[in-house]
Amino acid sequence: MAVLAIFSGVLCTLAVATALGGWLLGPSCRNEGTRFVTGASLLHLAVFCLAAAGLLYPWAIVAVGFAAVMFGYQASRPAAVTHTDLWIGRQAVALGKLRWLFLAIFAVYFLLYLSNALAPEASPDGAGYHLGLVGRYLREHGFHRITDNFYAALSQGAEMVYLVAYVFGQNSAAALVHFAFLIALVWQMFCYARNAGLPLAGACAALLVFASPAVGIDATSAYNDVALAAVAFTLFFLLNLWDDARAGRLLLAIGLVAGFSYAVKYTAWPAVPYAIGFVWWKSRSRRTALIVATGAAVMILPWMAKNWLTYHNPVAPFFNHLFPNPYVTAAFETEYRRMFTTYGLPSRSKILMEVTTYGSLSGLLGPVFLLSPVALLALRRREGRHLLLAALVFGVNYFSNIGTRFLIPPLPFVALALAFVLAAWPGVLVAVALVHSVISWPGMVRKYAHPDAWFIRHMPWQAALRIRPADPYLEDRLIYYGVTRMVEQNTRPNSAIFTFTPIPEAYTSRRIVISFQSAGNRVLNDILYSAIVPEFQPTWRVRFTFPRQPLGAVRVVETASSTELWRIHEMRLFDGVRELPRDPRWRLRAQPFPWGIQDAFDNNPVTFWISGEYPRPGHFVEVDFGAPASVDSVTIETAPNQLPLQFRLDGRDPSGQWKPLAARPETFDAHAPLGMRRAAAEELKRRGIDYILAFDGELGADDFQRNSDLWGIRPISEHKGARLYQLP
Amino acid sequence: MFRPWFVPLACVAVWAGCSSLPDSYPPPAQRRPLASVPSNIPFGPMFAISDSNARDQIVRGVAETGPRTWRWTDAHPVFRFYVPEAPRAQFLMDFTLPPVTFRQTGPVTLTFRLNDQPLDRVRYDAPGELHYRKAIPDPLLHRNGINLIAIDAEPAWVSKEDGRTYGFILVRAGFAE
Repeated sequence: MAVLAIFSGVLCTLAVATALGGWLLGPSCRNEGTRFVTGASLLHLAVFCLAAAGLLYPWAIVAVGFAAVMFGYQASRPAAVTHTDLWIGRQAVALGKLRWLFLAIFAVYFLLYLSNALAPEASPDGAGYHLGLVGRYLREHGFHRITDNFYAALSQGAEMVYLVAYVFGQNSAAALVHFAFLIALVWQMFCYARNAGLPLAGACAALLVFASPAVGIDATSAYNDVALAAVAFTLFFLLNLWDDARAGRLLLAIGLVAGFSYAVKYTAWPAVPYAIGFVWWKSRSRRTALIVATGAAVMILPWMAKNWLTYHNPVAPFFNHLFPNPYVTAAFETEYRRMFTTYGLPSRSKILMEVTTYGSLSGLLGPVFLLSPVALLALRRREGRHLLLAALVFGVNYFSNIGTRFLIPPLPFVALALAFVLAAWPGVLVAVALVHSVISWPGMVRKYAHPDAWFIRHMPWQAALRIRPADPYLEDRLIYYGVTRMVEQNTRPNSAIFTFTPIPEAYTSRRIVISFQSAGNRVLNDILYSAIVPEFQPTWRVRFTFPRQPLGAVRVVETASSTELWRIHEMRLFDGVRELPRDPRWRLRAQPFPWGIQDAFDNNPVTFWISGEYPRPGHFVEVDFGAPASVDSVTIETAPNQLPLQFRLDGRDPSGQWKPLAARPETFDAHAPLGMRRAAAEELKRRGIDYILAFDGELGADDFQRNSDLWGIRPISEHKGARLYQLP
Repeated sequence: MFRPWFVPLACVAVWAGCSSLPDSYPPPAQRRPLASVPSNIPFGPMFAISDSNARDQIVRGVAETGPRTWRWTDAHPVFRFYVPEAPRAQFLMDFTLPPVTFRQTGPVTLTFRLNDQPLDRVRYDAPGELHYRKAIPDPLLHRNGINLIAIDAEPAWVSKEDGRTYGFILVRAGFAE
């Protein structure tokens, strides 16, 4: 029954998308793969609108799908064959006897992939945020402000399409839709090469992509890289089709698909200038370029608007220095980008072998792609130049994330260019494709890839057909699946669980708050640390003293740059020994990160303001008294995790002039007060957290266990070293 | 000349320019201080020799002068602490038995008393920087009150230069959770 539901969801999604594509393209293009991907762009937009309107109910999705199928097929009923049909029709060049060999290889890989896609979703990110968010949107019937998970800010074009299938068949249906994008991709590759008069090259290039280990595991998981590759190739295919036929209705489709590239993954934004530039270059017509731009804007602007309304940043979670916001800090973004540009590799010279052969950058394309430089020889052909330009467009952002997955979008273009070059020696071309298909089989990959490489390792038919129940299968294959089920079974509905370690949130309906996934979560993390980790405890005092005088405001100003965030647990102002009470007329300011400054004035030692950006000279925290007040010292209570501390204190006299009050503070130690653990736990509760999930070995985990009474937390459950506590 | 393609660009620019950082905030509601010490009591649950109010915590037996971060005690120092309400407490002390004196005294035994009740007795067989930590049995502790810790060091080291008796070098002592 479950398998039936899964296939129902997949087939409905494919039917709706293909119908919409047929409606949009009409007789201009009858390629099924192109229609499916183009229609998926419209389907994504329809689901987006439902989610934005809070109408994400199964009945609404079914109604939209039904209407789309009826309307789409009515509108795209076969008409007289046009010259653009001939463009496709010219592809009827047989592969001869090799056809059966290729079909057999494709069939074997198809079965391998089908079993994996149909099996319960066990990929880390697919079972994490990709489908975790899809499930959440459906449960909440639309988009809600999700400010504690920066992945929710990424464009989720593919996930909107998965959502249709998810309604029927849940996680596996989503993965199968992603797999359908792979089928659409390789079919279009073959059709393109057939049209170029090189069907054998098309078949070989399609096989190079289809059998690639990285492509295989990605396409059978609820990721979006292969979907993006399919969208990218569809755009390329449509551009060439338009260049050949100049059918006007293709222009809007080109724009929509270009914009859909961005909607699927930010890294594909160059698709838009590529598409606009291509049509403008070929037509020298601003009107055609404007049509394409309009189509792209229709796909892109909804995502930007959503992010603007939610995060005050249209391109969240990136460019936070241009669009500062309280949810993702510029400092975090800097670290995040740095991490993904290196993956800890000692040198970029290692990348080539890792992405082709060893797989430690989360997957491998296959050793055959070491031949990729040969593809440059395709520059001699017009098609080759087009292919390599497209490879450049969709690969230009690779070095912002050197994971192998990020090479999947340009891969089809490289594979085709390589095959076009090798087509001069058909025997060599076929040999390369056959060798690739042999050494990409899971049993072979194990022999040369690193143990941490991400690739398909099994053909799980029993799990796919649900002969083997999902629970034990996922316990074996998906890390922390059992922990997630423990969370689901032992927590209240709608509760929030804070954890330092991500768990597969697609398998729980609870809100999982992961320590690094937003600025607010990071603060929660450090509030807990402030109770027990000496470096995070507010045991440092920074005191400025100066002659007693009336002041309208004081400002603590950074005088040096640092790579440690500046934080203030409490800032106190004194007139002699008397602390100035925090007057409602006071106004608190901080630049460049104003959010959270109140936490430095709440008299709670576990809360703090954090600078968001790495300190630079001129950054400041200011207290405006509203009316002149006599002051002779300012004390900052902070933690010793932010060397070097270099500040000066400025004051604004009653005439409104700013002047330096103290060039340098004195610093000294103090003791953390008793009750920090309890205060930290209560603060998490106040900030909406109901439970803490801690794994043995994590910083603080043993303290939760030993001193749960001091925290005021109650142990609820334990699963293989993961312990769940309820907050007071 | 009207250039229509500028319109969407201008819209996006204006839209993006609508960003406004919050200018300022009022002070928030004030929290109840954690486990606070009454204002008329000048000492707390913990002190380090470097603290400005360290003298207030010392009842007797600690050298009046010395470096900023440590002081010699005599053989029977006594300290006082205000311990607020806490579910559990432990007494901890960072101290040193210098090798120079240890060579003459041999192993040193510290006997701890809390509020005139025996708390612990520990023998130190090696010199160096040492850390003592002991969970306090509930009945011994005066919560929301003043607690006296008395320590006897045996044998103490007697200086041949001035004839004075020295117990150990104190850095920090007090109650923690």
